[in-house]
Amino acid sequence: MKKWNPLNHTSDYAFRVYGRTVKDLFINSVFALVESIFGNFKISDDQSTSINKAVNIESLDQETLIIDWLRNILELILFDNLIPINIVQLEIYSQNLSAQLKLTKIPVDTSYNIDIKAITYHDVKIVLTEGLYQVDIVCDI
Amino acid sequence: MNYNNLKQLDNNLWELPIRGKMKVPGRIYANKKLLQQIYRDNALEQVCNVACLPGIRKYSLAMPDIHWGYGFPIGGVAAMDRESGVISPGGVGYDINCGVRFIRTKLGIEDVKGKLDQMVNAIFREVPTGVGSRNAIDKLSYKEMKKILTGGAKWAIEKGYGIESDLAAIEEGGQLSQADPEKVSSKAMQRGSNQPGTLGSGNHFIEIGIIKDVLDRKVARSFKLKKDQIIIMIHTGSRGLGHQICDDYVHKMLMEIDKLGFDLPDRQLACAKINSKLGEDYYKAMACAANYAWANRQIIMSRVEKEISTFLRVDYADLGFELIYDVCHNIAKFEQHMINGEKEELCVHRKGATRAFGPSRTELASKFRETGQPVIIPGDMGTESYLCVGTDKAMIETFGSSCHGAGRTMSRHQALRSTNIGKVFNELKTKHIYFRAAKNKTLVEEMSDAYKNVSEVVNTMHDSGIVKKVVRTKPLGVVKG
Repeated sequence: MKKWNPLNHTSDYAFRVYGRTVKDLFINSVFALVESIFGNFKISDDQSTSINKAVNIESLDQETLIIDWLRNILELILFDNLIPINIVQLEIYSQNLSAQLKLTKIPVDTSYNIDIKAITYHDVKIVLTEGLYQVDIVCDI
Repeated sequence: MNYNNLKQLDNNLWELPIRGKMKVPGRIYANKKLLQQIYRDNALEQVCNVACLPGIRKYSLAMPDIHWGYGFPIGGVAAMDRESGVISPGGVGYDINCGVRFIRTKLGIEDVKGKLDQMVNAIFREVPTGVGSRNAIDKLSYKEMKKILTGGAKWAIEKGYGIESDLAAIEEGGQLSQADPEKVSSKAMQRGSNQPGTLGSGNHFIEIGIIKDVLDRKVARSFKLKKDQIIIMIHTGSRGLGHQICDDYVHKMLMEIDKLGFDLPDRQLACAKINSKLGEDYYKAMACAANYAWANRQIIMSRVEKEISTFLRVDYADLGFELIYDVCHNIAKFEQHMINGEKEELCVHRKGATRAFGPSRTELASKFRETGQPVIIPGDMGTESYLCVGTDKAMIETFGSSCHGAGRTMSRHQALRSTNIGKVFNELKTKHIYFRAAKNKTLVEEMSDAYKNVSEVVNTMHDSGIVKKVVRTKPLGVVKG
């Protein structure tokens, strides 16, 4: 099953994420964001340099929650120079989530494929189609 | 959505009648050809969504460069009643005060012939470009950040970037007085501290151009512009700072949306009452980003001037850099407009739209009271651009607003699939346009075919009487982000 694919968006950047469960959808959305930004960048799962971080988010509903989750991940990339290498634990409820992330520092010479500056709430809808959850994410670039 | 009910009002103006929760009709400036392009994405649906916002007055407007954005369309204008209306960060956009400035020089084609390649390289070296570009000047302390956020272009001039008379040629004199850095998050401060004087990525550019046609001799003469003169355009905005402010406030407003008692047609249209604390806080933060963007363009202009002067070995007097005007593309401003014969105080959102005030407006510097405000409408990097002026008809029809560019017609993803860098290089070389970009990919994403025909867009505005064309320019050299 493909985890995500880019979509056409006239002015900015968008991608569609798929998941068998809502939890899958949230996990795959992180892959989509990271792979969009870094392209084929290979993440080294070097335990000695990894950092663990707890993330707790409360939002309005599950749709704003997935955007706030990605805003949080983008913030880690932009501000802390950290890239998620593993989502150790993820619990999702209707309006909130708690997660344990394993992250590593982004190497200095890493080139960026797309300059995603923000994740928008534009028209966000989680839909169930033929047994697969889908969500379209529009990013400001 | 079906737009069969679209009503043609004249050759270049269409109306979307009120339906559903729309409070006002939509109005779209476009000829038939442009309208076909507009139909291809979701921009018209966004015009309808904006028309649903509380306090909107007269129309949800779309300029001919309209295309699909998020929340508001890009190329959208909406004016809200100051008392009952809302302010929406999505109606301003992430790149707050993304804008463009147009600079005249005393150079002619003979002065730059055979040197353009090196000139472009020199500018590319001097102005950091591309994703996350930074450190054009020393990183600013928190104290200095507060000064740039309140001072705007004036701060940059006090630091030696440009001269006092530049201020009269910048929208709002390059400074919104409502700016309050206390309303800006520490994250936004962090993102902005090392980015003043940088171009960024995407559609931002520095262009060396030449005036190919003078279309209004009288106005061109008053701006000291003539055929074959070299001009410079700079297009950039408030960098990471503006994006963070928008992101912070969209989130805050969304979390408090229940207070409005209003169903949002799109969450990205999150908004707050203009006169609420959150609405006021956003405006003060947005004004900080607007000031930062004016300082950014001021620094870049000064560095480009220095670089060209050094490279061509001409002193500043002979180079003759003079700022014709600097306009915002993404902003909300409090302005007075006449509605049904009454003067009203409105909050005008322009997202991917340019203010185009006519000669009657007292906000304009005295030198523009005869001509109207200069309106800069850049095309894509391979074709042409226009300098126009605003008209009094724009004051009646569009809250003194015009289009801001050609407008994309193809996504970046489509552009990358439709051609390759070799073809784009060849096209630019055939046209004798010299170019440098932080990434070749950007050149493909920004190729001419990804944009509407800027002349069609500008002619729509000109023929509608919203702007008057003054000069047409062609690019000779382009630095892209």
